[in-house]
Amino acid sequence: MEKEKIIELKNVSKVFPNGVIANRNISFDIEKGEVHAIVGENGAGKSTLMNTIFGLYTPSSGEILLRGRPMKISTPSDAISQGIGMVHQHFMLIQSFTVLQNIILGAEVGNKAKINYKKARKEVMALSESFGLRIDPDTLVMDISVAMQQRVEILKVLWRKAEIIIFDEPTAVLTPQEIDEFCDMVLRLKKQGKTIIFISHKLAEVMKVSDRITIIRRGEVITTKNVDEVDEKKLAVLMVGHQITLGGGEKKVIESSEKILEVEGLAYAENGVNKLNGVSFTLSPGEIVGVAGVDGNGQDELVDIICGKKKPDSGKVEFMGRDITKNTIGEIRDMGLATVFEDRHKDGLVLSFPLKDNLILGYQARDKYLKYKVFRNEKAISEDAEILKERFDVRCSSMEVPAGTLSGGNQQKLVIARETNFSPKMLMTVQPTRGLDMGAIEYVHNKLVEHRNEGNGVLMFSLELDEILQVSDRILVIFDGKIVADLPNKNVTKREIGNYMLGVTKKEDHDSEEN
Amino acid sequence: MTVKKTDGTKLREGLNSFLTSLIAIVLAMIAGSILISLVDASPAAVFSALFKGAFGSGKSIVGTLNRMAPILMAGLALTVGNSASLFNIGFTGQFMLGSLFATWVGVYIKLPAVPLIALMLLAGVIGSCLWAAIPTWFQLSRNVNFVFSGIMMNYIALYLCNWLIMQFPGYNAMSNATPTIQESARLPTILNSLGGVNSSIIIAILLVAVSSVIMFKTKVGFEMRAVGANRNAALSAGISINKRMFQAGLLSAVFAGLGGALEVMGSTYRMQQDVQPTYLVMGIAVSMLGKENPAAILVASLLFAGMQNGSTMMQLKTGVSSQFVMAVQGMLIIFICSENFITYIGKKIKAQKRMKTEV
Amino acid sequence: MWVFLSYIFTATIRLGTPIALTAVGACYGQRTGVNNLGLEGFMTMGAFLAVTGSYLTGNPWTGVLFACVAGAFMAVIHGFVTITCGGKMAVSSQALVLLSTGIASVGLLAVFGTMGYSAQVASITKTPVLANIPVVGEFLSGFSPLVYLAVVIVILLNYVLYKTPVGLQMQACGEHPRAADTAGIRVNLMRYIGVIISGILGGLGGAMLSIGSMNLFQEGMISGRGYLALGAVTLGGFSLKGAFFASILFGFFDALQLYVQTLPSFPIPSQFIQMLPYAASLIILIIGSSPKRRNKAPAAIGQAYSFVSGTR
Repeated sequence: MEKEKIIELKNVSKVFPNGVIANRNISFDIEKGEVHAIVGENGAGKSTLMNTIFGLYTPSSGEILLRGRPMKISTPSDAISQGIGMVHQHFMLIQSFTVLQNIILGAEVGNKAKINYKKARKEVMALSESFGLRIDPDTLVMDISVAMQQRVEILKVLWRKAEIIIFDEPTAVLTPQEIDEFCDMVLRLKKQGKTIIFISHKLAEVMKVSDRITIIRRGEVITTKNVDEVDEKKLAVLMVGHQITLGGGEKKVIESSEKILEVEGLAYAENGVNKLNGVSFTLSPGEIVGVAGVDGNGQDELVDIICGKKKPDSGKVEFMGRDITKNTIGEIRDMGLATVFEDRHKDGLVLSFPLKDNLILGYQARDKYLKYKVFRNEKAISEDAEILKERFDVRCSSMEVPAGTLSGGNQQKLVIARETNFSPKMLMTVQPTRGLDMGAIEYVHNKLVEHRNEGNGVLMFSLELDEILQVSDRILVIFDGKIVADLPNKNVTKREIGNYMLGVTKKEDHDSEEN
Repeated sequence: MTVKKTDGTKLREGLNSFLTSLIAIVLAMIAGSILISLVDASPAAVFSALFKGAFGSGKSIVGTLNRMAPILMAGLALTVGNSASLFNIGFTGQFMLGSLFATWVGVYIKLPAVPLIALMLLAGVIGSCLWAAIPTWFQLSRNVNFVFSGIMMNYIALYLCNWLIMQFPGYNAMSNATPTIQESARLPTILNSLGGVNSSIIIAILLVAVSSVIMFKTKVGFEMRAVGANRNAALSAGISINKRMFQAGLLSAVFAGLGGALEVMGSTYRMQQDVQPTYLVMGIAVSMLGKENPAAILVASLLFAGMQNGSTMMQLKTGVSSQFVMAVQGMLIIFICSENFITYIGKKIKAQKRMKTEV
Repeated sequence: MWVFLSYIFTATIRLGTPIALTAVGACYGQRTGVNNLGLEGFMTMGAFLAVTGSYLTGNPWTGVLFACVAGAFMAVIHGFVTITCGGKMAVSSQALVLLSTGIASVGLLAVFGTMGYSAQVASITKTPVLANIPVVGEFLSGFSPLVYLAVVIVILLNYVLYKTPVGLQMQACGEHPRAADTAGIRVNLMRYIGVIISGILGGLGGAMLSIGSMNLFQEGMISGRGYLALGAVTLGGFSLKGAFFASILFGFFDALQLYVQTLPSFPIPSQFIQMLPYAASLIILIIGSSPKRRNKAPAAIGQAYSFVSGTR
């Protein structure tokens, strides 16, 4: 039986005004009723392609056929009216609206003159029931969990009666158990006749639910395969084009009795909500400690307290034997505790400044970069910039270009180069490989291990369990503002960590229930 | 040691900047011409009269240069504030307080010329900084909108100065002004053969150099600019946001105060009631055209000084109100703000070319 | 005493409603994500064109129409710069203020042949038709029909923003434009409508001050009320009702200031009395602000969402 092709892409290309060629002559099909995965590294062009199908972008050239006819979609509104829905990687939810308002936005119940919230609530709850997606319609989105936010996003799409549903990196923020629930839901949707397209670079999930898989690399389609023709290893090689070994390489054995970082009983509340409920742990020289946890369990606040941005309500932080709880950000950095923040665009770099200025950001007061304590020592700054550029292989035409022109990987290298330049005794890094391609990920992991091998400490916060398992010497799990696990990284499974991440003790609320 | 290749990026960027500014100026002239034809005058006549009045003769050039100093100071003040993302709309009030304090010193303190002038400049700075400290403090400590408080302070300054002027012993009720400053307080003129340009322009140009050095060659300037460009990154880098923003606000006020003092010492020689300086918006335009480049700031100030000087001749010759230049300046600023549109079109064309050649 | 109170009351309404109308318009625009600091200029143009329109046709309502059209036109310019091009909103606003002052000046000379102020024109300072209502008729007819129009507009806008689908969508544009885009909403269209509403209301506010309170235009007559309107929005917590009532409060200070100036010998010098509206609003705003208080402004205010600015 000939499978009906619901979407056909023919030589679709997209070049952005900033010159980036995101998609290059992409051609493949999606069959009706299948679960089709689009797989590739960060930056391969998968999101751009799906955003084009959804109407957020228009292709620079090429044709897209929808149900056999040329697709006339230039806005998301067109896409929605033709039965296409998309759940984005970064949720498209309005924090100050209620769950109900977010779901019905754009397709409100009632007439042009008045929204009928009562009727809308009834209809939305009926929909939620029929698909088994539990939500709380009258809570504000800013107060609900990440997993519920995703359910709201899916209900939005179902509310608009989508037949084709696109998911962009749906499992990036979920625990292993939540990922299982997600996979079940995908299969449920498939049974109801929906066509599912999902973008992912998490190959385990891809193998679990997909029927077919298309691999995209550097903006081009490499191939499309049936799921039984490949396995995770083959997919990884197809994605990257060659073998990659992650994990950062050889770890030297380092014994030490001293402690670089000692965190004791940190408690912190914001707006009446307890974010940290007594966090305690230590970090020794020559180890990488990976902190796992679902987003929103206190990692952000813990990072802010350690680096000096926030002050805890109680408890203390000791670095190299000194109490740094009350020190400023600059003082802590000067003492040898450097931080590579999660969002390099927000905290790590000034995109409009030239590279050489970014390389002294945070270090501009150091004696070597100053003349007579007041004026910039341009010579020293430029020299150091060249040295770091060579050592870290930052690809750019010169150190005068604005940092915004660099690729994500090179930007991250720049930040790491800067923060390790003065040999900090401890490097704290949050989501170090977010948005990076495999090559850059490999590089970053190597650098982290290199730093550790020199006898320094690395504290790594990550939402990617694979990364935690590959790189850490010891694993901590943070849940509800407390460290609930402290395990050496030997024979630890993802599932085990996942249990800790969700709270080994069962919670009463509806978020962590099983079906 | 790697060989450093010369960098074309700065030059290319500068050229692009210059071109877009030029396009903005041309568009403003076109829009201005439309306005002129609506009031039944001839655009050609108006613009040529404007140009003649600005740069057409030795006398007009002198007049233009004489008007340049306060505009230049306004441009500097706004540029410095903007670098740290502080839109110093309170410039007007700071300028006025600067003028007032300088006038007071100039009228009553008996000193020989050089120390007197120095003291007047200092007084101007003290006046403007005191005035700026209030809104800046409240913005940083209580998050009161800096722009709103600046605007309110400007109105309050007008009335306060009105009252303070009346308190000067020897207040001249006939002309509603303070007594004039002493001879020794007045700045000497240069180029007297051409008509005498007041030397405030020299001081102003020197201050442009000082400002550039501070902003681009010192650690403090670097930190201020980082705060303005990306506050989060600056915070993460350990920079004290409040301290640098306060300093930037104060530096901006210093230039405002100096501008006020220079105007008194160079051209007005006293302070009148109910006169609100109009340099703020010109300062905004100069800082936008100047884009933190000292040479561009000088050229832009010259342009606006020319417009101001030429407007009187324009009104004389064509009957179009001299305030017409305000309308043109407004249009110019709007076109400069829309620069993104021009660069976008350029980028789109490039992307299309790339599409054809590389895909 | 009674005379004083009744005078203050009517003056507050008369002086406060122009600010209120402008403030509500500004707030509405801000709710869609577009901030407009240049309402001083919109009011100036509105005041001037209202007088011009009345002068040219003899009918003050034509003047009102001119004011609305001018406000809309200026709003489109401001919208183009900020919404489409992603240019600096504060700068564009100041440019429009400058532009209005310049055009008003040029216009005065061209239309009336005078400088500083226009000729006297037909105005709408009273609503005689209401005089027929028993008891309160006399009192109610003392207000300009524009005051009543303003109240109706504010009630209408409040309903639209908070109860209708379109209003919800507009709010979405101000909170998270990309989310609104993916929900199928035409974000920039909504934003243009928002800024045009703020423009029209700004122009109307200006018209209220020229032909709604007196019968001519004077250069500088707006004297900062366009900015007071913005302060009122912040003070009112970025809600339409809040903006309205905060503006009335500012109108009170304005009325008080004018009254005190008429008193023969008041111990405080007149300059300090003239300062009152500005100083009072600044002090109230300072007291009302605090660094900890959660900012109620729309989350995406001032953030452009367009291809041209590269933010889409």
